[in-house]
Amino acid sequence: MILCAAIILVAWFSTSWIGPQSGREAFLIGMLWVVLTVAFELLAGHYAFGNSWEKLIADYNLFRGRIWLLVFVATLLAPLWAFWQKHAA
Amino acid sequence: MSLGPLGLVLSALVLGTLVWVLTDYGILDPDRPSLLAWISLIIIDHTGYRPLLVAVAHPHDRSGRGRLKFSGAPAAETISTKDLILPCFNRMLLRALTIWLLLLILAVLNGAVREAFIRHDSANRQGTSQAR
Repeated sequence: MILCAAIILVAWFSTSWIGPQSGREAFLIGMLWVVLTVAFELLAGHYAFGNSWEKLIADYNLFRGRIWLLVFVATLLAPLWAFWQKHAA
Repeated sequence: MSLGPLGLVLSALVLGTLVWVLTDYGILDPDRPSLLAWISLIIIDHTGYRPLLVAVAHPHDRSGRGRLKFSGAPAAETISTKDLILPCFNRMLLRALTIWLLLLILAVLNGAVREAFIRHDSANRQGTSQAR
């Protein structure tokens, strides 16, 4: 949850600096972040740190109490939310 | 500077942390600096400081582009960093990538702090049970 808050905070401060021109671009930024994060976590986790695929996938199981998916939801939506907030203000 | 002061500071932080992490995990070999050079080029490309980029990318080029890069003349602007590396990148994408690297560092730090708390907690529990 702390990480989610940190992501939202970083997105809030950085979205205007990144400079998306539309909500679609802001959403694409969030999607880019999620894709890069998943790719990094799975590839580095398996090949660099030697974790098994099962262990890596288990972190995504919401029904087992793993809330790692929330980080991705926050990462995906934070730039869009920040963009809307800045343009609504 | 296309990214401004914030971009320069972030880029320097990202480059430093990236090199440190890669070296720490043995992925980056200090004796073979080619990967380090590429990372540096990409980060410098973030900053958009073209004379420095050309100087790093073409250290032996003493003519043509090499002279242009140090002159500070507007002609230096005719050299596009996008032609040198990463032609498909634009400024927004590079900025998004910079922030993503920052988020990645935050996530790694978050994981490290959590692990430290768990270790500390389990050590405390063991100490308490042994004392009983």
